[in-house]
Amino acid sequence: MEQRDTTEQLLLLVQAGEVGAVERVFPLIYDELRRLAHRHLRREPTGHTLATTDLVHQAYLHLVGQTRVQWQGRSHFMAIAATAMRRILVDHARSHGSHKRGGLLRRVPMESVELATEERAELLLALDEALDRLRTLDGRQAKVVECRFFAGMTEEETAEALAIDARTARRDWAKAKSWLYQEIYVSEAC
Amino acid sequence: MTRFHELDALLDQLLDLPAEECDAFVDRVTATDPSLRAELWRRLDAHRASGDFLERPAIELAAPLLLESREADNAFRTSAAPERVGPYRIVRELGHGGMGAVFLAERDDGQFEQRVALKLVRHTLANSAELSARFMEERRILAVLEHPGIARLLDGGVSDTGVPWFAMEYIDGEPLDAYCDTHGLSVKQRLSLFGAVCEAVQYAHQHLVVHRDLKPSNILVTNDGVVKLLDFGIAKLVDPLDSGDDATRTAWHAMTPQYAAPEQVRGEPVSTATDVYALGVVLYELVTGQRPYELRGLTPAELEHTVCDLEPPKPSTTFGADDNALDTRADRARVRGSTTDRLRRLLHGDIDAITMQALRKEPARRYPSASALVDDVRRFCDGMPVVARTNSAGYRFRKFAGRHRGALAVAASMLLLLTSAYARERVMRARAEGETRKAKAVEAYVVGIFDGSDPFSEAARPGEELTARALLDRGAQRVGAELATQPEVEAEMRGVIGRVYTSLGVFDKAEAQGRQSLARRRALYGTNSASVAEAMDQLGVVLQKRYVLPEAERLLQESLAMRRALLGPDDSATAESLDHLTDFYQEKNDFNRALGYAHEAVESRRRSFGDESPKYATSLVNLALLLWWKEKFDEAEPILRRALAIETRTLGENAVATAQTLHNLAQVLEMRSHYDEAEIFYRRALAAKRKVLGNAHPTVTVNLNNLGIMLATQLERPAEGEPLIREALALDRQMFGKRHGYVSASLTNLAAVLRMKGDFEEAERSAREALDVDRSLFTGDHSSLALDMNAIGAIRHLKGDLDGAIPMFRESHAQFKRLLGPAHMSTLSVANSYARVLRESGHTHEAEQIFRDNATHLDSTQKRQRAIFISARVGLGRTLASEGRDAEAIDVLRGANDMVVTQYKKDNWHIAEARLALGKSLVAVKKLEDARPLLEQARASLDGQRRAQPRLAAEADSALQRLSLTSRRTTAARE
Repeated sequence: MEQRDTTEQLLLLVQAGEVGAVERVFPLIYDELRRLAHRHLRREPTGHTLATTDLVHQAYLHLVGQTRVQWQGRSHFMAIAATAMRRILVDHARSHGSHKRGGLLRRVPMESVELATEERAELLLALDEALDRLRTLDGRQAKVVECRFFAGMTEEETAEALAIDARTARRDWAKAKSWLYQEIYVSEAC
Repeated sequence: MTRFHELDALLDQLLDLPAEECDAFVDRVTATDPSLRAELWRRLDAHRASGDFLERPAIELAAPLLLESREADNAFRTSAAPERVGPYRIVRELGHGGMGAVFLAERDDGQFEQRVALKLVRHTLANSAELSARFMEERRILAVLEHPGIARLLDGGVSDTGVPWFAMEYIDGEPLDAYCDTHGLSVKQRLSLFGAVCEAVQYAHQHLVVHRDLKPSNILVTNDGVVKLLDFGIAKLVDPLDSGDDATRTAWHAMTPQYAAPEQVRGEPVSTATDVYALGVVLYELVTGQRPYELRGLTPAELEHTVCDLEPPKPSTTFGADDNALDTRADRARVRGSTTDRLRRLLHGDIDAITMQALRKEPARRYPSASALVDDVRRFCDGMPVVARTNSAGYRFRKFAGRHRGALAVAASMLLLLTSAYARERVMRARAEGETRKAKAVEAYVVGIFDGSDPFSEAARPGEELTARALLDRGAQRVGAELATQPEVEAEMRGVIGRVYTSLGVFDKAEAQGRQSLARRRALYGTNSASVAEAMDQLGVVLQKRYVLPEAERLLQESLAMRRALLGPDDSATAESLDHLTDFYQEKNDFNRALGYAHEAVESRRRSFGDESPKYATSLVNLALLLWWKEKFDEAEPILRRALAIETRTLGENAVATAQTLHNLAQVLEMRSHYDEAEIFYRRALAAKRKVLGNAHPTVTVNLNNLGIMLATQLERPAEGEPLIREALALDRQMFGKRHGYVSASLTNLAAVLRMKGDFEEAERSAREALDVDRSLFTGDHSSLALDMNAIGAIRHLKGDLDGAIPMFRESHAQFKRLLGPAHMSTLSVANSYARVLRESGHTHEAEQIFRDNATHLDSTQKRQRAIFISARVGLGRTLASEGRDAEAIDVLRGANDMVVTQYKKDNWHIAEARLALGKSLVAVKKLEDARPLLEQARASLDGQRRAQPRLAAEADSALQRLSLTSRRTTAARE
């Protein structure tokens, strides 16, 4: 039979969870966010009142605790949560099953027309792939996209999460957007 | 600089320029590079076009994808019923509901006729291979449920089109509510049926299966008035949110809102308490004819609010005054054979209290189990006071305080791992006290832990970001230098860091921190203080794990004495010391002392935390552990199941503590020969631990070892056991180096598996290495030493090195006898091995004595004991044969042969040996034709395992040669 640690120690391991890297904290945040997102959608299926940041804040409170102290770990959490949110949504798009690798996207700006579900899935997957490429070129810009687009954060929140100043966050966002736009809608024609 | 970065730098400048200056800027900077100019223009075009691009959050874009899965579900319902599924032919539809459609079906593949209720699950599998594997695993668990009140799961699978199906026992009955009404049952009669429902639920909970979707339509009553629960555990099987990592499309919980507990409505984890809630709704409906809430027509948000926030009316009030013209009170009373006034009085008080307790919003405040609920219902029927009403404000306050304490502890330790709440709190307090210098020091320390680690720097690859362990190491490195001016803070920080290292199994670092913490505290607070006692206890635990036993004992004892004197016997710190001493003496194999401490700890926890707390559960587990050592498995099992129930409810299924208890329960079940259930529990525990802790943790390697050795020895699947044990050994070495009790335990187990495979040289090397390690750890008698020597003896015996085997078995036997007594199974088992080599080396008299002695200690009706009993009888028979007493031997061996075939699988060498022994004695008394089939069967079995059983195989060869010689001679003589 095995030895028992004290309950406190065990709770510590379970709750804080993770002896290792963010990669092991990640599933917890991922699951929590996924749960909250589904719950939210079930209540508000139209999708237009969704505030992703609320989800992230709720996940934070639930997983990390009710502390009001603005410790630094909070911003790390936010940045990880942004990555998790990206994964959640992209996973959904992937399971939609319509993605054809290398398939062309119609070159129309996405907001100008209501996209069909199929196109939404493809756009998400294309973005995901492009974002991976951007990450190799400029990791910070990719992070900014995760925070702004996938986690729905404001410029200020993004700056806080990534410990950069607001001006940098604004510029990175603008540059990343134009690069991604070009990658997704323009490049393949070139 | 790459083109990307070149453009990037130019964009930075461009973004600051007024629009009218852009063109000139571009012309200027790209004057010499036309291709750069083209690219920059394209990028600026993209910039202008991308104004709205990505400005609405991704989740809006994805929302239709999430919602679409619901439509796919609905499509299923309207699709035509298949003609057949698996081996079943569909007869007709019985109904359909939230989860799918149910059909009456017949098995008609010629095997046998059987009518089943066949359920097709409304759920499209995105990744059917993976999901069906999970599905099969769960199905094995459900198949364990065998209870007269639970419809059996007979079969199941995934159809060609990816639709999961189940075949369940077909029950011809009426739903519980309808049955009660059509038979006009009184409230008491209804309560009696309800009791049967609770018992079935309790049985399933004890087997770790939660129903999740209890409701009257899932509870049938047959014409004979027998209750049968349907669909046990199936809600979990089809709930993709529970599936862990696979992100499936369907995300809507399979549940019925009217019976769903608040945690289900919120999408939070469910537990046995969830079923208790549903039972509360069923009870409510049975006695009143109404549901606690009217949920029809509510939006999901309103529904959640109603279930999670509103108190339902008490059952008795549903028979109270009501102006509503459409009131159903009189009708509801009539089908209960009563009047509204009488029912109101009957339900008022006790039934109100029982129902409301089952329906509490917080799972921890409900009845702790289905059986606690039914007990209270029975108390009511017997006119006894019910527990629900004695749950006074005082009781609730204690519960609250207990929870609160726990929550604080968790929050505190958790924050430490990433930063430090403790230090934060110090900062706050220091600030409040105006001690800015102290506050600054602590803050600088905590910030310093983080500053060096920028998880988003370019160098960081995914998965290498921000390891908690790295932060901890950094914290440990800095604590001395940065908190030098704050000795109290330093002492406590070191204590906390040491505890975290201990939890992580990093014992050397834990020891260093523990020693420093203790020294600082002694300097600050003198030798006699609670703070010093805490540090001593902590260090004692670490030293025990490092096998520095004498010092560990001294520290743990001193800490206990100090805590008893300073804090009293019921303080949680005192109980903690008791737990640690229980562990310690168990490690030293001083079981009587350990048992004393264990009982004391259980009582202390019960008094201070109540019998529903995880701390109490921990003490129960420690107690069960000792009962395990004393082979009181039947006493240990219910204690562990009780602890498991508490932990599952309070900590959740995947908590490490729950997994450890599950593992311990598996060991008890193994000892009681319930191997199938044991294997399931071992594997579940292992999966949960790996998920939470990763691989490199002692509790994982213990689990690997125990599962591996059971597969190899009890289930005769050494090929499956070996990789598990090798993995454990590698992890143990990586964590602990060479000299550690975990390493030696893995080595001994590896030796056993290798021996079974016939790799005697490597097996002996492993066993000898284990013995060397253990000799450096323990002096005097110890079960580890005895096991190592037994392992070496067994290998040497198989190699034919009898002279080398005898002293090993002799010493092992002597140690086990002194440690565990002459009647302990380990003692008896080694005694058999010892007597066997004695016989083979000619000491038949001594051997006979031991074999005869052995058999008197054993109860041959118990499967595990029977194995040793059979060995003793075969040994005795062979000893008698060696002495030429073949007639006596044949008697003994015939009995042993009858038993051995029921004990082992067909080709097991024990069976072969028993046949061989009997055959040889029959040859000796010239019953050649009786002997021949036995010897031939024995050799046929042993042929396949010549490597693992070379001596027996050779013996079988020579016995057959002798048989043919003898028969030739006999024939010749006759002619």
